[in-house]
Amino acid sequence: MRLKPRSTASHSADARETIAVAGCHIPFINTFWIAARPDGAGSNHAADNALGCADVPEPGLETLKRKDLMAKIAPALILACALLPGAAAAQSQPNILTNPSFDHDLGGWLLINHPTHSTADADDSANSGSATASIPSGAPQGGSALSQCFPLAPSDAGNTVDLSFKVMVANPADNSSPLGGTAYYANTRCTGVELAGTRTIFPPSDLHLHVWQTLHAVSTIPAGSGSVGIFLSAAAASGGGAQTISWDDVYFGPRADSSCAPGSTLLCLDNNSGDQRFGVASYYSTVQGGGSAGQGQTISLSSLGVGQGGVFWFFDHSNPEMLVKVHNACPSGYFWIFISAGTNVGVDLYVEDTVTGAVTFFHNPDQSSFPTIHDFLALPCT
Amino acid sequence: MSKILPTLVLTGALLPCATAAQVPPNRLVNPGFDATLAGWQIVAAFNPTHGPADADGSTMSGSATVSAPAGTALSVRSLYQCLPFSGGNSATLAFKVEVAQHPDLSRALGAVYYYDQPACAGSVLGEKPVVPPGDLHLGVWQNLYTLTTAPAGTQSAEVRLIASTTASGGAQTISWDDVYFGSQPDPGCFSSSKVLCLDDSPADQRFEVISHFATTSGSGASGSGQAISLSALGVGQGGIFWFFDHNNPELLVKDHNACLSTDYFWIFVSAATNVNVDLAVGDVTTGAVVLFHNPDQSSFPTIHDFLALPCD
Repeated sequence: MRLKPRSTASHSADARETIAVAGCHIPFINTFWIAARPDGAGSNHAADNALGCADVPEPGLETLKRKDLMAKIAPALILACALLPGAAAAQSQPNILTNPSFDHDLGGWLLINHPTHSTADADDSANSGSATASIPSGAPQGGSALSQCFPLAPSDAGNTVDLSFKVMVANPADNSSPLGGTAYYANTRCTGVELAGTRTIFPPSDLHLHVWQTLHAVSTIPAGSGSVGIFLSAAAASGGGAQTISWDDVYFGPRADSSCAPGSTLLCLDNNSGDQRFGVASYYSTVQGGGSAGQGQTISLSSLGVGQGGVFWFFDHSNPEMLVKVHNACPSGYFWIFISAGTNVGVDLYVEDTVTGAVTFFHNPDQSSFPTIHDFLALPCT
Repeated sequence: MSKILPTLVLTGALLPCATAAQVPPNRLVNPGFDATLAGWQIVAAFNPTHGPADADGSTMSGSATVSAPAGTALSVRSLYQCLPFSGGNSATLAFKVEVAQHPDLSRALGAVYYYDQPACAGSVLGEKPVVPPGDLHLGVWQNLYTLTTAPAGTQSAEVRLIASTTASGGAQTISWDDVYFGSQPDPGCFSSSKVLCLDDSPADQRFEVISHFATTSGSGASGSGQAISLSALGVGQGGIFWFFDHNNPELLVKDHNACLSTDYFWIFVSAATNVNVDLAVGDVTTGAVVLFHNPDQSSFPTIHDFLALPCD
C-alpha cells in the first residue's frame, strides 16, 4: 500500500492512456498514485465527468464457467461507473474496487448465480452488510458469484497487488473449490485465456466456520495484461452439502510496501519493538455539517513508548477519533487487530503487513456509530 | 476522587475477587446491574426487575427497571444500599436514568439519606435528592448527579433509587444504570500514572478520568488502568489507558464540548478490550461524575454519550 505522495508526471501519462482505452474511467492501479497526491490533483471523478460514462445494458446472468463469465464483466463495470457518480472520495483510496463493503446493495458488481445482499456485516455495522451466495445441497460445485473487471495499462506490468476479503462460511468447504481470485487477461475486457500470474484463493486448512476471516493473495501483474478480473467465488461444501458463503470488505489494490515510513497520514505499528511491521491509513467522509472528507491524520504514540497502537484524528488535532492496535497472536496463526473509534462518520481503514504484503480493510458507513472491532482473524502471520 | 480509602474494606469484602487496593472510588456494589439486582435491597411496591437494556450498550449487562402503575401518584424507594459513611465527608451521587414518560419534576429519582447509627439505623440526619432536570430527555439514558456532604454525626448512608408516576399520576417506567456514590473529583486534576486529565479549554485539565479492570480470563488479573497522557503530543481532549502492557493501549477516552448546542459535554469511550472495566469521568468544575461499565468477557462497545456531563 503506497500511501506516500508520488511524482505525478509519468503517472499522469499512464492515466490518460488507460482512460482512453476504457472510454470511461475505471479506477485502476496507476490512478491511485495520482489520487494519493496531497493536493488532490488527478481526480478520477473529474476524468469521469470529462469523458462520460456509457450506460450499456447489463448482460444476462446465466450460469457460466468463470472464463466465460469474465467476458460479460467489462460492460457491467461501465454501467457501474455511470451508476456511482458520487464515489469520488472512495476512488482516492488504495482500494480500487467499487462498493467493496456492500453497504446497501451489490451495486458495482457483476452478479452470477444470484448472490444476495445480507445485513450481516464483517465490521458489525448496523448500516452496512455483505454479499452472500447459497449453494443448495447436491449442487456439483461452486462457482463465481461476484466480479469486477479493470483495464490495465502496459506500465502496470510488474506491479504487485493484493486481493483480500473477509469471508464467512457456514460449512466446511471443499479445499479445491476457490473462494475468490485475481485473473489477468490480454484484452481490456477480462475475456479469453487467463495469463500466467492469475492467483486463486482456496479455502485454507484453518478455515473457520461462522466467523469472518480475512484471506488474501498477492500477485504480480504479468506483462501483456490488458485487464484484471476480481472474482468472489462460492466454494462448494465438502461432501456436496448445502453451503452459504458471505464476503465483505473486499480489497484490491497495491500490496503492502516492504517497509513502513511513518508520516502525517501513515501510522506505523510494531510487531516486535521498533520493527514498524504494520502500516495503517484511514480515510473519512461525511455528509454531516455540510460535508467533508479527507485522510485521517496520525498521532504516533511511539514517543510515549507505545509501539503496537496509534491514534488518528479527523477534524481537530486535539480531538482523537480512533485508536488502532495490533496484537501478535501468532500461535493462533493470526495477528489480531483492534479498532476503537469515537466517531459516526464514514471511515475506511487499511492495515497492511509489510512482511506478507497482505492488506486488510475495515469500513464504517457515514452517519453510523463505528462499532468496536476486535478482529481475531485479521492478518495471517505468514 | 482522592477519598477512596474509607470504602475499600466494605467493597473488598463483597467483591473477593478484586484486589482491595485497586478498587475504584465507587462505593456501591453491583452499580452496573450486570446480571441481576444483587447487592441492592429491593422494595416490592413497584416490583423492580433486572432488564437487559444497558446504558453502555453492552449485551452482557443490564439495568434496574421499575414500572409504576397509573393512579399511584407516589414516590417509592425501589432499590437501595446502605454503607458506612462518616459525617463531614463529601460525595457525588450520580446515575444514568431512562424514563418513558414526562416525570413529576418535583419528585426525586434518587437520593442519599444520612443516619446517625450504623447500618442505616436510628435517625435521619439529612438527605440529598436527585431531582429530574427541566431538560430531562425521554427514552434515552441521561446522567444525573448531585453533590452532598454528610452532616456531623453521620455513621451510615443509604443510597436510594426512587420511582414515581408521572406528574398526572399516569403509568411510568424508569430504569437506572451505572450508579456512582463516592468521592467528588478534586478541585484540580493532577495527572498521575492512574489519573488522566483531559481538557475542555487548552490545558485547563477540567476532566479527571480513572479506570479499573478485572478479568477471570487467563489466571485472572485486576488493577488500575495506567494512564497515557497525549498532552505532550498536543492532544488535550483525549487520552489512553493500558492494562496489561504499556505497549498495548486498551482504551481511548475523549471529551467534546457541546455546551452551545446541548448543554452537555459529550464523552466518547473507545475500547479495544473484553475485560471488566469501570471507568469514571469527573468534572472538577461541577463535581459531577459519570460512570461507564463493561462486564468481563464481553467486548466493550464504543460509547458515544451525548448526555454525559452537564456543562454547569
